[in-house]
Amino acid sequence: MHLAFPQKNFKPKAGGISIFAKLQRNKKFISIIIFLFTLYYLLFRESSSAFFNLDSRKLPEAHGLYNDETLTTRTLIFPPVEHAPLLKQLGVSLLFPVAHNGIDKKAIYDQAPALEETAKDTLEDQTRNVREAFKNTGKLVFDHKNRKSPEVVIVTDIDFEKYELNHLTKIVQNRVDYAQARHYGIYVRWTQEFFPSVSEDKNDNSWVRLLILRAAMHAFPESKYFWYLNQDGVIVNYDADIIQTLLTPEKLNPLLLKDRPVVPPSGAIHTYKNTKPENVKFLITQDERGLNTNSFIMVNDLYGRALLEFWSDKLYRNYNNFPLKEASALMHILQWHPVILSRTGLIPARTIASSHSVVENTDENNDIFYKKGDLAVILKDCQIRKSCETEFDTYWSKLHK
Amino acid sequence: MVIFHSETREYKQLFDSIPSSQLNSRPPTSRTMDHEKDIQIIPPYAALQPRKKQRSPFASVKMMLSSFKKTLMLLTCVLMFFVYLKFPTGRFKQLQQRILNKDPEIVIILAANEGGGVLKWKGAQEWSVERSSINNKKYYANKHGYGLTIKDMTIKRRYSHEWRESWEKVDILKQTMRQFPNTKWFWWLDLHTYIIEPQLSLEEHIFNNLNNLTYRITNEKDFNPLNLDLNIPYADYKNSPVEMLITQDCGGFNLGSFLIKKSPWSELLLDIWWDPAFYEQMHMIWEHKEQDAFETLYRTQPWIRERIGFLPLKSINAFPPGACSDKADDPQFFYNENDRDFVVNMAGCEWGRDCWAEMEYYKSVDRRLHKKPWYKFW
Repeated sequence: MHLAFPQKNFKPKAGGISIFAKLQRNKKFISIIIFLFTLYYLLFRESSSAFFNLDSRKLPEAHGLYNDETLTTRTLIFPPVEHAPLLKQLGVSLLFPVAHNGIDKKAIYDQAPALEETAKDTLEDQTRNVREAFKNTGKLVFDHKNRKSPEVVIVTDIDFEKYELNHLTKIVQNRVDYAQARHYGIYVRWTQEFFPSVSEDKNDNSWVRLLILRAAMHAFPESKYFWYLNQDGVIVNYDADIIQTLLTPEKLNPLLLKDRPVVPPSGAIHTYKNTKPENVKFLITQDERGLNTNSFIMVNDLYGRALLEFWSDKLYRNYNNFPLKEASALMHILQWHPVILSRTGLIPARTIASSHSVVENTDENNDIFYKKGDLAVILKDCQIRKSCETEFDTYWSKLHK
Repeated sequence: MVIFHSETREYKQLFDSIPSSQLNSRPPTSRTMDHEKDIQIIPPYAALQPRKKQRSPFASVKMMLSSFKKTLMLLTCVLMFFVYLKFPTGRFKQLQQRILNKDPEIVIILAANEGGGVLKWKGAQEWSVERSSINNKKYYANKHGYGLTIKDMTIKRRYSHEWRESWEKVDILKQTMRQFPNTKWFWWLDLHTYIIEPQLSLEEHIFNNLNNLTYRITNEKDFNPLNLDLNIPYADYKNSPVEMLITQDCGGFNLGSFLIKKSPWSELLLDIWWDPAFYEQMHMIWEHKEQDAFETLYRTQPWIRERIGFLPLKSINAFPPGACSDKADDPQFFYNENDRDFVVNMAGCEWGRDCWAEMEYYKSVDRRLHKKPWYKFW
């Protein structure tokens, strides 16, 4: 009668035996799990291919054109413009050690050996200072560890053989005023500083803009955008913040000219139809001759650097079939190298490079000439009209009423 | 009337051709015969008879197996273990890649058929060399789970109008990178190469060893046969990863065997490598085509230079004695059995040397070095 009642003796003993018994009972189940786990391990284990990190301690530091560099916390880097008359008087051949090539008697300037050896004590103090200062701007590098880098740097080359002191001051002042209003940086260098780099070339100084832009990227390593603006360009709207109005993807997207011929009006190669604004590393406008290299914006990253260094390669600078020099080279690059083209954005001329109109512009629908509110005006061909200074002054006086 | 399910047209035609008077006779179809066969007459007493014990021939085997169960299981385990040892781990990786639909991490690009079919017919020896080379790479790729793609280097007509014969290397690299979008590294190998130490994986031989192996040309002590400028502005070696590994022989860069990573940088490099304006000015000077163009780019473009690491020639590209003959006494270039060099590249064997003989020689070296004692199963 009481057999069905559980007896104490029937209870399994506590301890190891019961676990063992459980295991025994679930043998099949456990072996299947082990099998699956082994299979999983064999098939899906991560291969140990942690690719490497190289020890870079022994490698040399990067440097610009000069081996010795000076850190500075100035966001506005420009040469002492007041030296222009004296520099002009000294002439380039006194600023650099010079050799002459035998063929066309062209002067070849030598960058590396410093100037002081030539005739240090024979020169007056003032001349020596001027020459020192001429060389020293190029050594300045922004100290990005101790001060926040500006987001945008405006880059310009100024030519003391072309313009008088008065005009040069206005050019630099214009950039300084804009940069201070918007907390940007500026990077201005003498065109002549780059003569050693371009003096062996067949083509002329217009290539200097690429070299100075490269130097600027080196001097402001943490800044993102570099806006090259030619010395014949005036910034006419100090309130326009190019990051807010142009460079954010939302603003840039509607501005990008997609599926447009790179060389107007009927070039075979068009810009891509589906360029994403985040991928654009290079912004440039077009004029009636092609691409307008007097004003363009570049991002300081792999793409910007690669394009810039490739664009300014000696083999391009010496090439005979580039009538518009660096502009021809750029049109060539964009038509032959699709990866670079895919990172390029064409934008309407009036965003960063409105043209100066000689006659009073009355057409409301024009998309080339300056209208009130535009960011910058390019005084294109003002040298042919021999009116660079006066044209500059008309815009300058509007700004400084 | 019998309904025909005539399968073939012939049958139909036959049917049509028979006069209708004959149609009433029964056509000899196999179908009806089958029906007759299916009907079997089972005697009613059959079920009552005692069933004979059915003994299949497997039953005795089964019994025997069950009596030696444990021994057999042990034996199977041992056997599986040897199969596992014998089975190259690369196969697992390849299986894994196939299941997960992944690209291999490393892909070997083998350039085959150089100039084949256009300049001359391939002879028996050329076929043999090509076969040996391909089999060698296949074995290696399977062993370590790498991808292998064999690319045809036949001179293509499409290049002749834009003057770039034998510049296919760049195009093939671009095309292969599109083919394997998730692969990390690509190893380019010319046809006349032979991997003599296939047991070395690229990871253990090269990638885990890079700190000791690679050098940059920044110091007078670095090997620099081209006398390249050691110090150019803007080259930032310190903050740049190495994305291409090449070697230098006695005459400069050698692109017979090199590694390149898939990255935005390499995409740009491959995009600008061939430029018509450069080519027009330099094609008379650039004797080795893309190799010389690459040297020029290295010379002038810091963004390219800073991401290139150099490996000693012997690490992935050892030469046979015939190559670099003017530096014949310099052991740093030449394959040496005692050093167990990884790859031999019979560079230039098609210009006056015997590719086939060299290939056969290195195959025999491989056999000799990797001879196994009889008792070793794995």
